[in-house]
Amino acid sequence: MRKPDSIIHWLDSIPPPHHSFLNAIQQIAFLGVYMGVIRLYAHEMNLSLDDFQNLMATSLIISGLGVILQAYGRFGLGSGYFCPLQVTPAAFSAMTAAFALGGLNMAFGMLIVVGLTQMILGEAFKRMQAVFTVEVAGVAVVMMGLSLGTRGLNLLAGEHSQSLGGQVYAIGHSALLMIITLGAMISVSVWSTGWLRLSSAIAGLLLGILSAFFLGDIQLHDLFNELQGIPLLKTPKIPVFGWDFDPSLIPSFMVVGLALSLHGFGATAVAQRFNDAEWKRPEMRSVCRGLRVEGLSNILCGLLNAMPLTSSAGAVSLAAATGCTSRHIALWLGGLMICFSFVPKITSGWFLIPLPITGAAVVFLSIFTLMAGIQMICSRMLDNRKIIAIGASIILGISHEPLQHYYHQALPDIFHSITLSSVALATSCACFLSLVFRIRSRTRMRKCFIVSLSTLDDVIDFLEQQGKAWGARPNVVKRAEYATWQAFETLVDHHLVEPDSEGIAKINMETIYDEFCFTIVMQYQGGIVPLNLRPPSHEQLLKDDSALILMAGYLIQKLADKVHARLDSTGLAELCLTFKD
Amino acid sequence: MLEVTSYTRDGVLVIVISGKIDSTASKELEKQLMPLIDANQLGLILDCSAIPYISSAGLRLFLMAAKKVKAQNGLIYLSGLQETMLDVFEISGFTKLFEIHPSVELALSAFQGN
Repeated sequence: MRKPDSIIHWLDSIPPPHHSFLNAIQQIAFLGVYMGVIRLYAHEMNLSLDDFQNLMATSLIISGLGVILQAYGRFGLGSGYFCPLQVTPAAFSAMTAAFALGGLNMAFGMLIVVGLTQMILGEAFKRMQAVFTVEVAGVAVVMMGLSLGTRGLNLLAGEHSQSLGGQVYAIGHSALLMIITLGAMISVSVWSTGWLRLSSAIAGLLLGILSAFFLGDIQLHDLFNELQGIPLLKTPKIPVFGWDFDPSLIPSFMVVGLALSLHGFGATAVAQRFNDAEWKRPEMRSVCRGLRVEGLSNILCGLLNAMPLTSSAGAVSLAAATGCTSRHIALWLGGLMICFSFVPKITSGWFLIPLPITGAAVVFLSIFTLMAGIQMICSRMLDNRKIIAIGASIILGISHEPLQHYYHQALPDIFHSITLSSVALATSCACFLSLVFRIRSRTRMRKCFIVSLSTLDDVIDFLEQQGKAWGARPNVVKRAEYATWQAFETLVDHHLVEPDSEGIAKINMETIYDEFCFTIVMQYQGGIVPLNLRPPSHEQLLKDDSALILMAGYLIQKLADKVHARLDSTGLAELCLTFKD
Repeated sequence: MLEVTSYTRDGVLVIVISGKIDSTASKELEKQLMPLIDANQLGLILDCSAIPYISSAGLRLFLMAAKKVKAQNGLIYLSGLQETMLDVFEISGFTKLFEIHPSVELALSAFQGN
């Protein structure tokens, strides 16, 4: 694990208090966008202002506890990354069905099923490393980036402005606000350093709010009127409504649990990617521990009555975009969230930020998320199977927005979980296709090279094909090709390969891939390559022809992570090269 | 297939080597490279950006070239080594023998600086 150059405060570093505070505040400003989901739910369920404020408070408390547990959890809890939890509308339809059956008690009580499902699926995901490959993680993260970007632009277009913010802006006006905010965020992120770069999102938000004030979108007397009736301090009532349970609703809430688990997998994978310049593949134990915290949080959401939560890829991207992924921020963010849950005046103030400004923040973060996903996909060699799996999944994910009603109506109930979001749809498709394409995809391949008829290019072509089929990292395959090429040349040039019983000099090459290692075994009749831990001296190399084989043996030894050469009593020699992927 | 082309830029001889340098290719390269070194006492830049592989025989040829140029008090710079090539040069200790630059342009500026 290596710190990426773009990160200023990495996982274990403790930023100065003012950096931590600013970062926590800009995280809250971003996560506040999703608090709009509570407002929407309260509106749809006709909740009183008191219930709405209680719901906001409980969601903040659990979200605050969740982010701390994700970063600092012990006893198998927590992904170990700064990975905040955001309110999600994914459970809306299931909660509405539960409400119809047993009221709000039932709608919230059934969230326990979502949490339990996530905890169980976390265990299953851990054992399915072969399915949750780098490409699948990449697809999930790309879709998170695309859906974030679309959501941000929707806020500009005003699709949600009436339902969330209660204000409608002219499109030209909205575009101007969004351009100012986004421009400020990008400028600070690209052309500044130090603490200012750490605050690029909040700097953009502040400039956007200031512009909105001068453009007349924020009127001070309206602001005072809005906040006048809201108390400054209030202890939330817990549980807000109580809880109830109906076994007939279990499947639909399990479906939500699956969708949120897929989302959680993607968010944790992107957190891993942003924190490690040498990231190779999703670390499923960390994903599993992260899902346990998400599950536990949603169980608490059921017990205390809060809106369901999921890991926020956007918040993770915000941390990476501002160069601060320190776990320490989780304490500040969690602490502030819990404190704010007792101050309804502040939480209500969130909804007064014009939507085009929050839309700009969402678009800003989507850029980082999308690019992280593309980098994850491109970090591996891709053959036709993988190209089809990735391409088809992304296309299906993009189709969610225009075709979601069609999918909901046309597909059987069992598929509803995967049609809940573009991320769930694309990730499920990628998992399914990666499973299907494992058919006839062998982890061992053999090829016989007849020395007199084979060229070094034939060897390289063979290894290149294997690398693509297995989705190995290009630099690992290149190193393997180099060492094998050197070995092949040495065996042939130094006449180490002798004719077998049929009078043919040949090398049987076997490649083995197990997700973590790329192994090449060469078997032939003849002598073994001398493997050296030290190279011959320059003088030796210039004067003595036999020093060439010593140099070749040294290069092979150094290029491979593990080398094994042996000769049995029948004269069969074996050279085994292992490369860690 | 091995290809060797050369040109002079800002008074410095640049030799572009393309292709894999195995034992056969290194013999051919030796025939072409050594006369060029002899004819250019001041030194030269070897553009290695199109060399995907080099074997121990190829390394020996590079060693010979370095010794020859240094014996003539000249300079020999390498440019554009691919990642794995650079690995091989580091592993074999050849990075101490040559000044290595990411591109011909940077090698030229370094040349002129000396």
